[in-house]
Amino acid sequence: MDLSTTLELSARGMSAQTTRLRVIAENIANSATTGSSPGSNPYRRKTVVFSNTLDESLGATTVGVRQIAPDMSAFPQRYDPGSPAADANGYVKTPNVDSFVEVADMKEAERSYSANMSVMETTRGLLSRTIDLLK
Amino acid sequence: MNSIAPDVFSVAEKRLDWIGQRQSVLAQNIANANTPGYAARDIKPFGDFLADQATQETDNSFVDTSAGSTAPQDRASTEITLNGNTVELDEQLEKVAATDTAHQLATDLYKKYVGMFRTVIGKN
Repeated sequence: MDLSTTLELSARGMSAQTTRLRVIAENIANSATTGSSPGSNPYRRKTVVFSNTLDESLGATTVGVRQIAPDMSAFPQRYDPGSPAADANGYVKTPNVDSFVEVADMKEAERSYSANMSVMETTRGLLSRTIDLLK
Repeated sequence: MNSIAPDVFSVAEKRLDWIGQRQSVLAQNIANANTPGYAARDIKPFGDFLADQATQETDNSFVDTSAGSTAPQDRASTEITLNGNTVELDEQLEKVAATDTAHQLATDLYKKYVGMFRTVIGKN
């Protein structure tokens, strides 16, 4: 395992966090998306599951997104008889997205992303100092 | 190892090799900072690494170059999140900084040593 592999490992970590941010953005953007017919389900929150797998071409274990799974928790309900999605009693199911949870998740993704970034910068420094030995 | 001269270079080479492996393992830890069930890893201290190299020198075919995938778990890590992950970003980044400093020292010493040769042979 050399330093270029290390750069690749950090890059994989960054791309996994990017996928996570994309899913968070999707959740926040759809935090008010209800169904269109009476009693229908609204937008269901998505979560990202990371996994640590062996990449044989790199000879190292890397991080990847194993799946983007739906959050199966119950939908909150809101009384809004005027909505096209309202059921017989006038209740509308709203998405199970909690914006505080999403924002906290976003911060964590950002922190992990920048940690990977600084490892990449350090590794680049190690590489260039090693190359400088030739001078 | 009859003379001192080749020893400095070989130790420097091993040191740089060890630093590279450690950096790889730390990069893996940080990349997996949010992976459920991932346990933080670290490689053996440099002293143990040197001792291992000395015993393996007789037969190089058994030298394990994939240290990252087989690195033992870091027992010093105590913080475990709800999903079973034991990576502490601050701790890992501190180790990255220590690795960076060690690398700086090793390369500087290497350069100084090469400089001594240059002085002797009269180049520069």
